[in-house]
Amino acid sequence: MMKRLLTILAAMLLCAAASAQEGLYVEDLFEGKVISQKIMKRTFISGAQLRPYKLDTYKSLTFTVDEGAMHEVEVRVIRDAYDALDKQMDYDGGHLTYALVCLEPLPNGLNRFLCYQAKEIKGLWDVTVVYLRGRASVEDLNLMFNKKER
Amino acid sequence: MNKSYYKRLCREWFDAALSPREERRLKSFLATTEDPEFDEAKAVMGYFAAGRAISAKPVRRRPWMSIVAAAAAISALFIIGTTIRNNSLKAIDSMESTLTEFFSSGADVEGSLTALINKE
Repeated sequence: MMKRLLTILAAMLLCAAASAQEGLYVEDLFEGKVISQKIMKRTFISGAQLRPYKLDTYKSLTFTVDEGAMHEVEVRVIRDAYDALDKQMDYDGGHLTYALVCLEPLPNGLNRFLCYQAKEIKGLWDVTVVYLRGRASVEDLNLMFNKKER
Repeated sequence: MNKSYYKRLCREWFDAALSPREERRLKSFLATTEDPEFDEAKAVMGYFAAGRAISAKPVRRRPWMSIVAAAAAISALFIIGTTIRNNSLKAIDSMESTLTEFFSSGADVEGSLTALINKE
């Protein structure tokens, strides 16, 4: 019985460690610690539906907030982008308005991407944050979703 | 009441000549007696009692009820399946449009340079 409990505990710790490896500053956002989940539109997709896109996880958040709250979000994206492999970031009026960040892949080889977009409309900010994980490379994603190139 | 009285009741029961009160009396006697001379009567009455118990609650077969239930179950499954499918299609649509916006709205350096060079 004790052995079984220890095994379960070890498994839980491993899971926690595995999820901590993904540890990004934006995780706070997805967990609703920065912006109230009540005002967010959230889309989480995982599994077989994403196979055609070579992805295994898609998480997106969309919300409208004031400048202060938007700053809390952009700061987290900038921190995550700091150690990224590759990034494209656009600023406008001292604020991050667009970011496409290729994060360090996970130890199991899965690629991770963070996308951020913020648009000011009458003093409020429409913010979209997307986290992608899977085998897809940025070239794959560009081929699939960049309509400008077609 | 002696044994011969109940034997007579048994005989009369087989002839269906007992009053309800006598029948009740006979049944309660048979329920308690261990006398082997009443085994046959107990077996027969027990059988009939069981038969009555079964026939007391007749199972009405209503084939149309099964059809309605099956149709309702199939409809419910279809509705649930369609809802789930619609929701996941909506989620995929939303993902595609969001990612298309992201990957199409980044600065097109190559395009800008080409436009600039062509202008010059």
